[in-house]
Amino acid sequence: MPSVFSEFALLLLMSAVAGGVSLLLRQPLLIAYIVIGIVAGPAVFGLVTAHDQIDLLAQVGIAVLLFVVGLKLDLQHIRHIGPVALATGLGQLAFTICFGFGLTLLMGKGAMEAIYIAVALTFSSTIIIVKLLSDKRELDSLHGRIAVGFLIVQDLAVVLAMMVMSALRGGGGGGDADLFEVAASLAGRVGLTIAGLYLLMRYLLPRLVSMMARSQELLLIFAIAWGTSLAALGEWAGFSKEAGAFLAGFSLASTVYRDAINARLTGIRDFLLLFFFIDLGAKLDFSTLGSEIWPAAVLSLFVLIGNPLIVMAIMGYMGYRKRTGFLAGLTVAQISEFSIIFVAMGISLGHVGTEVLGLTTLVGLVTIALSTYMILYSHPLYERLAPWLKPFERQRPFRELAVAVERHDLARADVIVIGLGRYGSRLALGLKEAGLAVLGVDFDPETARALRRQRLPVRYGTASTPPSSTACRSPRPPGW
Amino acid sequence: MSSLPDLDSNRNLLRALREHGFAGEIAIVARDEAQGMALKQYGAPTVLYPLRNAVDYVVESLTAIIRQEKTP
Repeated sequence: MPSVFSEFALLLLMSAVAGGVSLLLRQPLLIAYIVIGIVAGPAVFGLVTAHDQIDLLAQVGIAVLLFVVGLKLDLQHIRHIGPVALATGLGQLAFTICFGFGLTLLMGKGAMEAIYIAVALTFSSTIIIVKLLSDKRELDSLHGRIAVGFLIVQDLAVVLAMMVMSALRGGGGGGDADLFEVAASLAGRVGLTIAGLYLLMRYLLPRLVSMMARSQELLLIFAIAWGTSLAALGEWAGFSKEAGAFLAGFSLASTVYRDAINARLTGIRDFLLLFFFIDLGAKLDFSTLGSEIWPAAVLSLFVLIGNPLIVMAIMGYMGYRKRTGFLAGLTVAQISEFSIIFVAMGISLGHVGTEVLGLTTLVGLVTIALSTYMILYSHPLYERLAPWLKPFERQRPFRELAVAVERHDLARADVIVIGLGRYGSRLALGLKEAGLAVLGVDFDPETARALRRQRLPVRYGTASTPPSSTACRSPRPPGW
Repeated sequence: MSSLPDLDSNRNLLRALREHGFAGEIAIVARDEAQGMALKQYGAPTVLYPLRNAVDYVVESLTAIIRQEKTP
């Protein structure tokens, strides 16, 4: 029997190799880690014996992860979400929870299990999506910005769901008769925590942190100590470790050392989370998992197809074109690492059994792997599916057409500026100020509206779809 | 001269320079007006606007060309 140390070395080596393979397949690393967990676990090779050690590292990893989530929670962001992303985000949350809950109940699960699974199905992975969109240079596009907006809504919902479930601990089996009692105890505990945190943040923490920050290494140790301590305290006080760690991060979010702490913690977080995912894979119990295959398949299909349809329906209703709705909808076609963490928390709270975690992990593996390719090949996919997507577009997608109705005298324009990003809009406004007749063209309704307020005529149009005949009536403005 | 793209890094840089008693001149590149204002607030003595400069140059030369063509 090899020592624990060499077992760890082997696991890390396997993870590095598998990570390299997943990079070639353009898959997120966490897929590789879970697969390594399965391969090294009892299901295949049975290499993993140091369960306690791995489990401890995984738990510290989760605490650090939620600490960073709290640290990065910026109330400024919330104001920037915008009404469209907010409506889409909340609509998707509500729809997915309701449908997911019903679907899971139909498959013969208990109410508490169904709640956990339904909530887990709603989240999509901000880290994975933002990485994919920025690799494709679509973060700044209309669908990219809407997607990032509702991902922020989801991130807030993750935190809220974890807090609520942590507070439900006393409630146990989840009878709805003591709903009032649970709400009151939740309000009481949350109030007490907020008051305590406020006092700490106001009087003690700033001085303590600036003292610690004199040494960068000490700042790192302090941050981890603070995160794990509040996590332990949270567990002791009857919340969960996750909620405690999150609050620890949040209590430091307004200090000037936020970015320094965040930068130092990211590497440690990723390293420790590796063990969470390996642990997850190693604990998948294939003897009971056989019966979860069908539920996993049904729920995966629901996430892969149902979630995008919900977003497309909401966005179509709100007056977006089917293309924008489709591309934004694809970003919710997978569940998140937070879904898995959320269910794992449910187990430690005693709300659900391990088979729910196995089910969620399976759904996570399938949906993350497939939706990665769906997003990578979103444009060819759209071309194929476009004919069937008609129902998801209004007769007049007014939000994206709003700017197209005005008839500008194309013939009289000296300059047509196509694409009104940072450079284009500045250029158009500059040329207009210099006394030229300028016409702008862009497909983003928000941009068009903002520039119109500055009295710049803007036309609606894209370069990726064939232009409408009216837009091309004057191919060559005079003077050119 | 700092051409770091994000505001937080520049703010950290300014703070670090101040803490170390840097005595030289400092200039920081801003993406847009809002960032420029923020940089000024953090105490950046000189803020550069490369985008504005580039646009100004193009506007000038384009305007000159079009004027010339309009008045033969």
